[in-house]
Amino acid sequence: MKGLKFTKTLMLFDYFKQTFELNKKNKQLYTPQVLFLFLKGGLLLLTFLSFLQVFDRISPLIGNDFSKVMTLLWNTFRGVPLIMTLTTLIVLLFGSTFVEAGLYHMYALLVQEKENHPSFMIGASKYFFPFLGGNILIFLFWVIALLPYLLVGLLTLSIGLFLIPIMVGILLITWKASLVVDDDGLFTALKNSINFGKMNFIPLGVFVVIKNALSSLNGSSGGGSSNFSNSYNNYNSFNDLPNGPNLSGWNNGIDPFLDGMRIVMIVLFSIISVTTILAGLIQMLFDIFFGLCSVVIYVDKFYIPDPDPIPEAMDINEIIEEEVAIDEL
Amino acid sequence: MNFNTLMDDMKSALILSKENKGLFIPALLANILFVVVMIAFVVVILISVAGTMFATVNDNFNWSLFIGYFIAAGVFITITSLLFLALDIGISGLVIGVVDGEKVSAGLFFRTIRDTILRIFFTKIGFFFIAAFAFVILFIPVIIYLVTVGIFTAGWGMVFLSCSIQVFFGIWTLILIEDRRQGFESIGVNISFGKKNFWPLLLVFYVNLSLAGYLPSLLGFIGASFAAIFISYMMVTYTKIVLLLSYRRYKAL
Repeated sequence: MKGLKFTKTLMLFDYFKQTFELNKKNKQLYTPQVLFLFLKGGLLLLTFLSFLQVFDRISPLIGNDFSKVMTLLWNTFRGVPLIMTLTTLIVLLFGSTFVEAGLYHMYALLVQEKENHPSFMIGASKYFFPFLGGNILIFLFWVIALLPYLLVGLLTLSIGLFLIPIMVGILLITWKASLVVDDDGLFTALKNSINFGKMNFIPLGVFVVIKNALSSLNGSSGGGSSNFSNSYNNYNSFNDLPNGPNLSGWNNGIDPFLDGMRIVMIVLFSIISVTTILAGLIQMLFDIFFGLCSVVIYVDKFYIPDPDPIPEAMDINEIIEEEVAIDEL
Repeated sequence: MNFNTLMDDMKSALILSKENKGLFIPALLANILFVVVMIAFVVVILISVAGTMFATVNDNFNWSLFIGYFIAAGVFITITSLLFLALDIGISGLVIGVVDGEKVSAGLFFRTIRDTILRIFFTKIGFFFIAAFAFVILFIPVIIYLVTVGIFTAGWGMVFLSCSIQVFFGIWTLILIEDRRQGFESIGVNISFGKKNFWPLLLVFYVNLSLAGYLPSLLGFIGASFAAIFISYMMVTYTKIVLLLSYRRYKAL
């Protein structure tokens, strides 16, 4: 068994080659994510613009009675900003799952060479709910397992803190691949993924380590359970509110301090928004590569052909023919 | 050299590493050396601090003692750098030997150091002056780069910059030992090798950097602090094998 583990790990490099080729040939894999990234950026921008309006309206009153400011804040908020915030939240939470579902569908079709130009929308709508369900389930799993996990992590001198997410990651890394390849529903996919992970623990372990190390800059703590942090990375820009150009013009007579605050906020948020998009683009390269690779691995299942096929037992007639042939010589 | 050949080279390098585990003994030595140096450093600091305290206790500031400690620190740093340089050269020698099919041996390790350390050392000194000169000239552009691209790409810019520098200036010692060239000639070869195969080499150094940073954390906080140097030298050894295989492929063209 030991030799097989190493051979399977070596096969990872062949899978990387295959993934790279598929990636190069199918640039259309990138369009959904890029579009979604800009949609995210745009929505966050609009949301912040609406918040800026709120800020503009209440800033002259900051010195006044606090409760009055709060009521005014809530009233202004209830209009456009609320709609914007809700829309942004919904798009962010569900949009990334939507994009993921469509992408994995494309991966499955490309790897199995069923279609050369797979459609994004078919996959996205077909697999949206299973993907969403899976992401929620895994999220809940981590919420429930958080305390025991931390406890074990501390007891093992923090080795467990990093190893346990990796081990869980190994078992879960192919659930999305299984969902789109086997097409059997969410729970079968999870079961298949766990079985696949158990059977190919070491090679998949190397894959998960490589994926975690290369995909994040601060690999150590970000390297948690591959699928949880994967979807989390899609959500992370939600917490950063970017800013856009100030369209409402400067209000005259505002406190210079508030002016300064404004400028600081604008600068900060424009940096954050550009960073989110640029870093998101780079992250996307890794996500697509490793996502596609997980499908490649799952389809091939580390197949090692038999080195020495046992020769089939010969038919008795063939043996007689052979002996006759030898006699005739 | 492209992605496919790189993957093949990485596979071969992994097989070679598994068959010649002795390649990683220098990495272990590096870790031990590092711990020893750290302890020695702390001791030297303690002595010099205590010494300067005693020297100034009577308001007679004893300059010669102070300068003495500076010199001691300088010598200490030079010796340490030389030791780690020798280690690096030895690893390169072992890597070349293993790829040629020889077995790992201490003889090979020390022979390589003996043959090439002077050449490499003086080249490094020469290169240091050039680098210092370049540093002064490039200081402002680099700061601008760090502030703009560095921040806007959330740190990827810095990683890109440091890996790019390694692509052009991180392989020349290996080239020098492999081809038995002169110092600055090897740096030139490194630069042209880097120009021809920039993206695959960038990937090699990025993998080196990220795995060397990520793997220690798998051992927990305590394990990380003890094993970080060992793991980083292990990655360096593996990377050298990959680089050598790629370089030989490049030479053969």
